[in-house]
Amino acid sequence: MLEAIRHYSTPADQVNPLTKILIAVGLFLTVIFIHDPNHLFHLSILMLILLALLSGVKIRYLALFTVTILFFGMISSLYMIFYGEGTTTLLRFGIVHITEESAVRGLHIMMRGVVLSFFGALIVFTTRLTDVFYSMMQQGRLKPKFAYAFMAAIRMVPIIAGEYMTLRRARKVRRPLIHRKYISGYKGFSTTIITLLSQSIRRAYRLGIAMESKGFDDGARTYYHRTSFSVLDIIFIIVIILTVISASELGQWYSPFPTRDAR
Amino acid sequence: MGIAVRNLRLKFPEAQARLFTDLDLKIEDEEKVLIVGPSGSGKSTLLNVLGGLIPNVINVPMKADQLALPDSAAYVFQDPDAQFTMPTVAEELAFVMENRQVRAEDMDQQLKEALGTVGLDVDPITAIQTLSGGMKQKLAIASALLQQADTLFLDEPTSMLDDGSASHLWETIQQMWKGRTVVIIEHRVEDIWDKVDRVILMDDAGRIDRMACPDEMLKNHRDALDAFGVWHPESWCNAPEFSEIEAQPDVLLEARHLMVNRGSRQLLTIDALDIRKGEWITLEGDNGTGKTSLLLALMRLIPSKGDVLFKNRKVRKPKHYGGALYPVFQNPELQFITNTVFDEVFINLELHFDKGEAERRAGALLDRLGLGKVGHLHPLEISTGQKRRLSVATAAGGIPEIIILDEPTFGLDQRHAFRLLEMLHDMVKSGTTIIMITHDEEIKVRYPSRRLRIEEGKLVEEAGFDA
Repeated sequence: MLEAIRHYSTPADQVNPLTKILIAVGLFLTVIFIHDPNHLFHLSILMLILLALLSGVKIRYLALFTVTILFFGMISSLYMIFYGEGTTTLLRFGIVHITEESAVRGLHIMMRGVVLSFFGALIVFTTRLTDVFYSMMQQGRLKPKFAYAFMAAIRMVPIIAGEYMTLRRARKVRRPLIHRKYISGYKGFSTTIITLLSQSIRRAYRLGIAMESKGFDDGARTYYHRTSFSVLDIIFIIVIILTVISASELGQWYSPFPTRDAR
Repeated sequence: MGIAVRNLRLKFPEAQARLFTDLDLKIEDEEKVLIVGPSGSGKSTLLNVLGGLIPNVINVPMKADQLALPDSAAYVFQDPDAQFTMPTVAEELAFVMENRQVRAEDMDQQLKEALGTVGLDVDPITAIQTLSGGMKQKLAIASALLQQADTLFLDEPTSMLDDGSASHLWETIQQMWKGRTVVIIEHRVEDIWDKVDRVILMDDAGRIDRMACPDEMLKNHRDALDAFGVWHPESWCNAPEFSEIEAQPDVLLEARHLMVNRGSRQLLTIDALDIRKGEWITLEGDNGTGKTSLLLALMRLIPSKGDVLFKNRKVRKPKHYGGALYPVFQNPELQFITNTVFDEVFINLELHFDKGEAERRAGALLDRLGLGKVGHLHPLEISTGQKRRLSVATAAGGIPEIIILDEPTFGLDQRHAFRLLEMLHDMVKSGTTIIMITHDEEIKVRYPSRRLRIEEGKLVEEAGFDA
């Protein structure tokens, strides 16, 4: 999908999108049941290494992405760190009360998010959106009419964004001429939404006609992109399972956190 | 075999009256037919019936005593953005072949051939979104080719293209239309008029008024074409002629060392530009040279370096103009903010005149542009040509001192285009400055007092136009 920021393709590109999505679901459930912060610590690092190796994304974009994820992870954990319960006080400042337990719990939650973000990013970087739908039609028995409707809808998003920009410009210039009641508050909001909706509905209707005029129906068809399951899917599953297991082993060997259960 | 329709009757469920009553039409095999007529005459509906879209895809009640339609028909529609399903060129063309169940192995070969035939020289993995309007329409033709249709229906394929791209597209179409039946609806006919076998004129009540070969139509039926306001190759003989207007000495708008960028690329630089009161300026230049960007930069709607001065005062934000500079963008739908056509014009006037006067002026403006009858409708409900006229009407009314127009005559029929030009002339006469982007050669040579052209990132004055 994001070819512009990648500099090489990797075997992960060939893995079936459905496999990736199923692994993501599996990983989510696994991560929720990992209570050992040491395990998660190593898993985050291994996931970052996997992302770096398998995404093929240029290093500066990767760095930017990692920093962003860590930053947001940190922010989301702050609430837990500052106000959580615990007995061993590390710092007290007004209503902020950081305890060792709350700090560990906060970081634990952050690492859960980070692991899933890294894996999610790996999927996004190595999967073309169209392949997801092609795969869902071919391996997942999704009806073509839904798949193509979704793909067409995705194509509309930048068009709608562009229209919104123009709409805002027109308002900026008209603002000095007219009473502000027309463009502020509920009225301004509703006319914006009505315009965007009516444009989109009209375009969708026309596109539907265009699609049918090109012979599209819900019946038998061939597929330009052929997606299938291959040995790469199995390898990919094994790699992820091994990553989770080795993270657990590494957690026994090197434990940066003093506890084995963050709950 | 061709196409034959006898006694076609059709009525839109929400309409008062039938659109077609006992309409007969025969089109020979491999004939090239051009259908012209005022907007609302049912041209597009007829095209949809001929290609079988009505009633199979679009559910409209209709009946006919005889209906012989082509086995395989392909359409090219006017809006490039509303006819593609997939994100990239290859996937879009593959979509058509998938529908026909072409084997996946053969697809790449076939899509390359189709791209070659229409002369669309891009990498198949290019995103459709990055193509220009002309390229998108070529892609639509390539996809029609891949449908292996023996009949092509073209529904105003060039209405969103500039002159250059439009003539180029017609050349492409002529190269591939041999051996095919082609039915065209088009407003801008200068490139295609003498290439077709027959011209059909429809009236504003869904009837076929007359038909003839192009030469004869022009020679014997020009009055009828003019009466329905339809463009034809000699339309400009009827164009209004105005006496020259001297621009006034006061400089309204100045740009100094203005630099306009698109992304990181520098589009154009202007050392000094002075625009005076009462000038009628056209801004010209090829697609992508930054005409629209320049206007947006002058309005301070996009970031740019350098100074813009209005009446000797620096302008940093659009609101610093205080409404004295007013744009009419290319896409009229996106600048309406009220629920009725009348209000759209009225709200611009209500703060400047007392209520009665504002209402009177708004009504007069709408009447002048032929919008009086639709005043109570929602601005998004009216036809495309009406929307364009309405967007110009919001600019008029005597308040803005500079009006900026992006392709104001696009998609208007002859009658309304000329009426619009008359209105612009009157505005200039009363001291309003007009800056307009236009691709229309006829307008460029006839009306402006000054012509500006963007060439290689610089603004140049067109020779002989140093007013």
